[in-house]
Amino acid sequence: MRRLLKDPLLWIFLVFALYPAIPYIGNFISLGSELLLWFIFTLSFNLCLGQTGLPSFGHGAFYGLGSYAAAITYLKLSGEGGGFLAPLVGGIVVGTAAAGLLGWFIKDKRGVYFAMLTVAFTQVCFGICWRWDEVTGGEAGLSGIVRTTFLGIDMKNLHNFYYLCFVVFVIAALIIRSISRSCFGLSLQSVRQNHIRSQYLGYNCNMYKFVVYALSGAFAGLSGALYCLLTQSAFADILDWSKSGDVVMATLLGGGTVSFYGPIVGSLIFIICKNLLSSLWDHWLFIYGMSFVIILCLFPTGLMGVFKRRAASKA
Amino acid sequence: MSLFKITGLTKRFGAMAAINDVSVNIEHGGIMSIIGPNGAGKTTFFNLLTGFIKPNAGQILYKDQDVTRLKPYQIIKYGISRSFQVVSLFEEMTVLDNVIVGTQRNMGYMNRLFARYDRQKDVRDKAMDILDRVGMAHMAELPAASIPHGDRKILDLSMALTTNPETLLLDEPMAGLSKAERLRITNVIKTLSQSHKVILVEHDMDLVFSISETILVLHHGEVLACGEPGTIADNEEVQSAYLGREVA
Amino acid sequence: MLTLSLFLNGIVLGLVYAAVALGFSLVLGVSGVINFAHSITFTFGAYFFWAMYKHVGYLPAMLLAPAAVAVIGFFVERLVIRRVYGQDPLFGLLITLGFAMGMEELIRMVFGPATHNVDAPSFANGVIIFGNFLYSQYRLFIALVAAIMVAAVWLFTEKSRYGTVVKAGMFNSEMVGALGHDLYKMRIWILVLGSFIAGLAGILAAPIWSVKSGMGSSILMPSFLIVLMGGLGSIPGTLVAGLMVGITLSMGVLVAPRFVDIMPYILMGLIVYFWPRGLMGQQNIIE
Repeated sequence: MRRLLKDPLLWIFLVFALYPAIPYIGNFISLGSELLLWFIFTLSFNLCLGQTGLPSFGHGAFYGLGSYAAAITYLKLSGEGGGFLAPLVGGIVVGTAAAGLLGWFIKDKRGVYFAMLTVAFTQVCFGICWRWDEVTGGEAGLSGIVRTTFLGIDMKNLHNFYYLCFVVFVIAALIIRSISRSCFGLSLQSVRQNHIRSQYLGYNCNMYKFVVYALSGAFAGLSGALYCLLTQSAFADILDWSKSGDVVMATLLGGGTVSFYGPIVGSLIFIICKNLLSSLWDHWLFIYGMSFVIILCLFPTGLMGVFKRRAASKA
Repeated sequence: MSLFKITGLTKRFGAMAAINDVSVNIEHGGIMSIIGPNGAGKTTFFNLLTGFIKPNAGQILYKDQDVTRLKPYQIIKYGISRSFQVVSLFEEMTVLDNVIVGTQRNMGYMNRLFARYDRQKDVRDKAMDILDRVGMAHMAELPAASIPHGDRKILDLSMALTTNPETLLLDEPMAGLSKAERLRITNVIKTLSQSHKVILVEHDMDLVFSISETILVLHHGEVLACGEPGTIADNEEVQSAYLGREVA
Repeated sequence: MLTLSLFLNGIVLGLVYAAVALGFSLVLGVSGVINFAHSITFTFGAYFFWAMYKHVGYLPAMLLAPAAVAVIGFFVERLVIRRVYGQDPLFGLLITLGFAMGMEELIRMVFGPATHNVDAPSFANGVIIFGNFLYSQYRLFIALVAAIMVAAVWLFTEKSRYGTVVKAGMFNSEMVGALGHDLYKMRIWILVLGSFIAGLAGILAAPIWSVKSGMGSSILMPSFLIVLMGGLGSIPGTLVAGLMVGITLSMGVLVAPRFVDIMPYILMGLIVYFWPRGLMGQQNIIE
């Protein structure tokens, strides 16, 4: 019990279970949902970056393709009053497939080359979604998605939808953390820390990179699908590489390379800045960009890195 | 059946042949050492045997099985394991976790998605067992980056043991060690040679001649001589190529 | 005729890309930093030029604006880039990307969000006529200036004594010290030079693409991929890769006008995938 109470994840769950009751911020219920989606997204991204050392600059592609998949599944298959599940499954399937496809081809690439091939991939996906009017709606995007009922709960109500996201987040976070602490997670760590040694212990490193990339794509696709249902639309701009850059930056800022909770801290800062700071001052990106530079120059392991070092020096 | 049967092995870097048409049978007999002057091709030969680089031509048979073009993670399965000259560890893990990475792979736990790696008792016991054998059990919980260089060398070696190898290839296990540490590693290698076939590349001539049962001498990418330490020391060609310089 | 003018457009575009990529490549080679803040020097060049060319005249502004950008480059090196020397190239990439994001916002803050137009200079405002073929004089002017820039950098690294040291440093930065030059000073000078080139490229592009705060980030990724495509440290490689991208972008319209944007990325992806060292590269620091 005491160990459970010390678990930071429990406290994160508690805070977000009570989110709608938090004064001021609690009023922005869509912001809360977006936060939860970003948590899922960046946590899954960090399976690549922090756990396996894969610098993917193309995760926005899986998020974006997931949201298109959800929209198309909804419009073509479920239609008005149709199921809620099909779009989510569609997002997961497409996210996994896209990441698996890309991962299969670039699993033996490293560092900058890996990163740039993911950029090329996401830009190609972006270009296709932006121009393929018949399927993706082109520049206008897809709209007409309506959240209906799910398991008898009215999803038009934003609070109900928030709690759906919350449940998905809880499940996803528990799964991802359990993976990161598992035997498989240790195998991934070994690939990141020393891939040559790892091979001489019998690990087929490229295969692990491929599997974790596809796995991460599944969660990215899922969060993209939820994003589509949240905004009731799908647009191409989330596939641009700069959006993937935001994910990498937020994860690094939070300290994803040293801590499981880094992505959560990072997305909290990024999403809050993007949605709240921007309403106070148009040029919030100036502050965000400069703070990113200053913090990372001073503490290369990010915010959780500072926290961890403090804890270590106290102990 | 030879341990290694090598025929026509050639590795070129650009125009230079680091290993030139080497054919040799390595019979098993206790500890074997590969020696030769700098630039003789020892490291290249070692890397070819362990699948780290691919030869331009030739064949390597390990106990009559072709292992010539296998990748490192495949060669492990034949019972070949290696250590590294420049210590190669998982620097952000503890000593124990470094070994667990190997033992969990060996015991088939490596793909378990939802089992905590640090709670697998048999994997952990096996890892502690290995650390115990090399006398490092008391360091198990220390970060690998924080322990002294001699212990890091031994940890590197004990990681090579996790794959349950029959043959251990050690790449300059003495490099950069103090006299006391050399003695310690020599004892570890002697102990290991009772249960494993050991092949080493080494510069330390005292060690090579004191513990080897067979010595293979490489010179200009070719095999100059192969035999017992006594015959090698008396071999005039070897003396002129290599030992001669030290004697003179 | 359309084909010919698209082809020429492609070459013009390619030369501009190549010029920007050259600065990128020089900095990456000598300093080991993937400097994504390179994009803001391109933008700053265009904005400074827009702000001054009506007051000081076209040609003086073409020298003054890049000079001002070079000064900015100096401060960027002192404030940000020197902190990431010797670190993982991707870490440097992210730091400079964050910096570029902030600076791009600063540009919006100072110059406003509107898009500005720059007139082509009076001496190159017309068209050139060959028989029944018409081509914009200004585009030829751009090609000329960009080609001079590329040639100047090439001459600098091939013929001048300091330039040969720079070239050696692009393959092995330890060589710089061994040849008796101060590596830290060289890194500053190369960044200043790279900024100057990018600033000038921004000016050349201004009348065609118009001046806006996002112009740098839209050229950033293509120019970095051109560096990888051409091969690190190879000036001819960068030039060839730049021309390939430029021509693909403009000629692609004939093949699939809707999907022309993705063609250079497919091209880059294939080249980087199959030839990791690029078209004319040698072994380098980011492998």
